Amino acid sequence: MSHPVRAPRLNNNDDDVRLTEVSVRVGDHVTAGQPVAELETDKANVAVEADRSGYVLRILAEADTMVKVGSVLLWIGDSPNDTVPDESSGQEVARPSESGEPTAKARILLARHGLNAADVPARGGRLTAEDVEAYVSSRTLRAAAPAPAPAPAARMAPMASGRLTPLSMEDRAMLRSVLWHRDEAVPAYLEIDFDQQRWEEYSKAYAADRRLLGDPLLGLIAQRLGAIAHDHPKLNTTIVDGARHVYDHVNLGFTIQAHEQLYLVVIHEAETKEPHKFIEALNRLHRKAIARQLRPEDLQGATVAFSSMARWKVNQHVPILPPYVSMMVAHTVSADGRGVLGATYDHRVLSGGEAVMVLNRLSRPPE
Amino acid sequence: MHDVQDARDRIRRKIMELAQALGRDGSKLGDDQLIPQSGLLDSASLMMLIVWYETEFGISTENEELTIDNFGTINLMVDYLRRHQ
Repeated sequence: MSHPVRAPRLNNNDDDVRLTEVSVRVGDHVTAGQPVAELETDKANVAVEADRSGYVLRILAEADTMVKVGSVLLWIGDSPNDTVPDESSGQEVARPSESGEPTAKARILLARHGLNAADVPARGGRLTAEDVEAYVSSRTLRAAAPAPAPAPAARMAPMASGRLTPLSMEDRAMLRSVLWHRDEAVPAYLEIDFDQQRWEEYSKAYAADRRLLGDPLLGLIAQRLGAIAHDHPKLNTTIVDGARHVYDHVNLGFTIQAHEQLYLVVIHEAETKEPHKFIEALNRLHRKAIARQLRPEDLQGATVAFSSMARWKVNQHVPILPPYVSMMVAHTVSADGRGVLGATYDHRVLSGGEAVMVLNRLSRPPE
Repeated sequence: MHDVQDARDRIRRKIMELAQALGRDGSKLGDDQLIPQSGLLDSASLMMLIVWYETEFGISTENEELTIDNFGTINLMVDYLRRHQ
């Protein structure tokens, strides 16, 4: 089924608004909350977000044009083969209710127990694995009679007083990440000690050779991760609708802290970049982050990711997987100088052995 | 063209501010002392210094110009400024 993404009303006065950018292409897979376009008002640029995950089927509006509030900017389909209504008829497809729509883990459990989603009550807006497990447990305990539907859990709320404030765009993006990690992936973590000194010597020699101002160590390690992902395509895949989605390119996500904000900037097509070009691209993104000039495309499309907390000398950090990323490497150097390479990986895609193989390869600089 | 001493002082103050954020004392940094080797700033802070420098003095730098030879010391940063203003 296809669903329209419409130009929102941004204020009471303007029935037309300038569309400055469309940041997706037909065929792209988008996740709920992902920016797909940008509108401009007198006061600010506003991102238009996809309200559901799916595939971009058709784009009806062009960048740098005026669009009517409420008009359809693009269509998103549940599958890439969905059709969109005839534009001339102006008919829209009613959006089905999302109540009870199961998460990926819930769908697995439903299939395992031979259940229909419609039979299992959802305590929240989506049917979760916990809902299915609770339903199955109640049926097991009352095997002699049909299990009554469990009462929906009371909505949780903080016990201490306070006030609600809206989340920033960055906060919403982080929330989407952690929810994808929890609801879709099957995350596992492992780590290895490694000889940081070998990498430091390699990095120092590299920097001296090119008279670099900054230490390129983390960029070099991340570039190496991109090369490993290119050599091992399974690392550069994810699961979509029960099938393996093999990415065309390695888009290396790299965490950067700028001001009080954590960003995952993305170096696209990392496998095509020699180390010096990769580091240039990373530096460019870092500068944009500090100058608050990052664009949506700078933050989208990661296929494998890298993070370092060596700056803070932590002993261990267990990263959250960004949406549709099957491995995120966590680098750190503890206060006593111990180098650690850890990785959170999606166990639907990779085994522990495969994750360890990647870390072992990454622990050594190129010959 | 900004007064040379004024530019030098502003750059020094910024370096000290960034070093202080890392718990380090930059007050003894010499004008010809290599900043990356001083241990005062890490890579992230060096990048903040460059972005500040561009904004403060109204010039833009290309990635390939971010070298020790152009920005390695306070005096080199002042010289770069003189060449590009």
